[in-house]
Amino acid sequence: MDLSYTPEEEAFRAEVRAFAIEKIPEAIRDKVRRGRHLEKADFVTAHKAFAERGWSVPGWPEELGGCDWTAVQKHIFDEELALASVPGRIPFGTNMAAPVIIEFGSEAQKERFLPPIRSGDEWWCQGFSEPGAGSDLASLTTRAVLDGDHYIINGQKTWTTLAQYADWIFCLVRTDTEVKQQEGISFILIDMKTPGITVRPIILLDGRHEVNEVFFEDVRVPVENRVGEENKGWTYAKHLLSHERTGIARVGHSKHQLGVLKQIATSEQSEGRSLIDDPYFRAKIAELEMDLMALEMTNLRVIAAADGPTPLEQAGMLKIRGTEIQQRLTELIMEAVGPAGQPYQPEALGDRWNEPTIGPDYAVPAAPTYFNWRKSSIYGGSNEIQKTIIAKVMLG
Amino acid sequence: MDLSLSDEQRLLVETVERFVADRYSGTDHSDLTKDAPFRREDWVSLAELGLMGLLRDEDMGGFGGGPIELALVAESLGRGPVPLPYWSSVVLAGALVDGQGMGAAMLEGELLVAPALLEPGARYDLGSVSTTVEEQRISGAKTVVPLAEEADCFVVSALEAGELGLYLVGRNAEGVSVRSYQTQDGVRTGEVVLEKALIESRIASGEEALHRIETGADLARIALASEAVGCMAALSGLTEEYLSTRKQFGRPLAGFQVLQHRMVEMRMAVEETRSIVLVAAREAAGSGRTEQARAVSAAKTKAGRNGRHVAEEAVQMHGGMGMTMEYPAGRYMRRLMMIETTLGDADYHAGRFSRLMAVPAA
Repeated sequence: MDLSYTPEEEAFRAEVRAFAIEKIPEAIRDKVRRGRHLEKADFVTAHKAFAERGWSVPGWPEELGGCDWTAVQKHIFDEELALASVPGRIPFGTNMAAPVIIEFGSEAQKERFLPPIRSGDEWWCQGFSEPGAGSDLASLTTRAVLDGDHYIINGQKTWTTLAQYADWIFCLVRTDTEVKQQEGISFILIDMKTPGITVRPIILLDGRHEVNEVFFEDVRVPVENRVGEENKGWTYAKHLLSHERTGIARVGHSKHQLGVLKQIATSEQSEGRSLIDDPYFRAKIAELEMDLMALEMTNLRVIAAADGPTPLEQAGMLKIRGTEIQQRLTELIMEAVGPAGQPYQPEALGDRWNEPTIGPDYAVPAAPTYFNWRKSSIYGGSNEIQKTIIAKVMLG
Repeated sequence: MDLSLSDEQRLLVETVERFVADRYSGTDHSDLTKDAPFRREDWVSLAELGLMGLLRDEDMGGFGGGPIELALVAESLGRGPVPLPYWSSVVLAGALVDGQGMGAAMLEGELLVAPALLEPGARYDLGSVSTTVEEQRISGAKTVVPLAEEADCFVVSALEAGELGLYLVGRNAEGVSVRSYQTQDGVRTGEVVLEKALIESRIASGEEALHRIETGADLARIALASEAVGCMAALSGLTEEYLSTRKQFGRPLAGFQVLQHRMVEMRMAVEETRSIVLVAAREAAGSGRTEQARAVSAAKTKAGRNGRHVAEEAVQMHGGMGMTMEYPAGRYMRRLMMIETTLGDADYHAGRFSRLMAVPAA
């Protein structure tokens, strides 16, 4: 065990940092730094810069455009991008649809779908959750019935993140109602332009349109859009859950936000001194920083130990601690801005706002971010579900 | 960066584990009122395994290890638990007497050195010293000194003409008296009173003395925090096993979700602490003093908070069994509580971390 970075790793770090600063437009990074909303174009611009460099799909096999990086390099990559305020990469195509297509898809599917995911020309969204199937995902009821060489799909998906931008959706659908729940599910790729699909926004606590309901009414999908075998979709979905989990802890993002928090606490004045010099508040930041230091090392230990997919229970631990820390950061930023967090000014977070903000600029995203990040302990398998999964592995 | 153990590190861990299993498995800790004698042969065995010189350079007859090796050894000792104050009479003592020509005898286990730094009423402040040296004679009192009775000599911090220094004092020198006892976890310890005792030598003074105390204490804290990880891992394992076998209401306790989730929290606390100890070990091996101190304090804070959490949860989930002296969970709990109150508790170190934390310029 040698826990210091090698000169090669330090050189890689410098390379990633230089890339981030030179190739991702400052206007986009400034939005991230200031907690502003990103538009679809911002994500696409960033993705295309990665694609040009050959870094848009590092987790893929090398022959398909992936990078032959060590676990430590992947960690450095994530960390440096986050620290340089590069937008988080949208995972639905690159890290979710693609690994399943690569592992279980046909050659034709690989040729059709992988290049535009890699280049950023097609946007994907995820059709897993349903109104009646949240943590108990296997109880999903969206139905796909075979009709010649098409499936006819009826049902509803929900909490579909950024479906309003998506060209494609990958869905878990029920293809057999007679068997055990998990054995009647198929994994299917659906063009969002297909007639019968309706996308309706859901506005979240922060007042923002981030997720959607997606309705399917007699939607005809060619059979060749099914990935792998019929009724094996649950297995493929589980594969997806263990793939590319190096980023699940979001250590880099949290480090970035810790910097934001410290900056705010330094600017804010409380009883004649900087808030950061108030020992009680400072101790809260200190405890959080210690948590984050430990999480970073746990993340390194997990990704370095896993030869291939991350074991589920370890991914679960990273998800739980990672989201606890992310939420704690939003809580402390909210506490740090204090009453300046009260004005509701969602338009000030958007692109087309040129007026002065009410209160300091850094206070504007504090409350919306706090409200928004409550999602993190719910999505991706709630933290309670994660604990149940870990316990099953530990205790049998 | 390489997170896997080297062959040498793996061998080191196996060696310590074997030692712990041979000497300490099945040790009867059930009666702390029984005088648990310090077995000098155990100390010599540690020496024979090369553990006295773990941190000493190879050309000095040592193992040539660093803080990471120290963490590995200490975690294995914690799994015993082993009632030998390795952190004190090897790690701290080694740092304090470095270069004094005592190396060979210490490596053999022939010379047992007990650091005597802390004074009654000083809580965790090693800089609070009122022991004084005048004309080669030292007077003062030192508290909770591990192996005070058994040691051959003490390294004592004292003021001479107002300047801090480190002094070597023989255990049997005239004017040295020891009131011996064992701590809550069965480690032989004592209160040391010095009344115009003749010093053998002055090891260091001023900045150098302070530096030795600070860096030595930080290394010892890594050992303590890692020992806590060993205790916590053992407790987590015991509890998992117990929940899987103990049946109530017709099914194993492991089937109850309320306990499953608490068990998972326990395991996460163990892994989190192991991680932060590795961070501290990494920083201790190569960073500046501030970074070292900060990371060490993070590790000691986590060891304290998580150690207590794990111990209390283990006892709770064992039910009545966990309350008995006989069941092994208790000995880890006792050891963890002693670690927590040695060289700074969680609040002390959270405070130190907070003061040393990097913050932007105003």
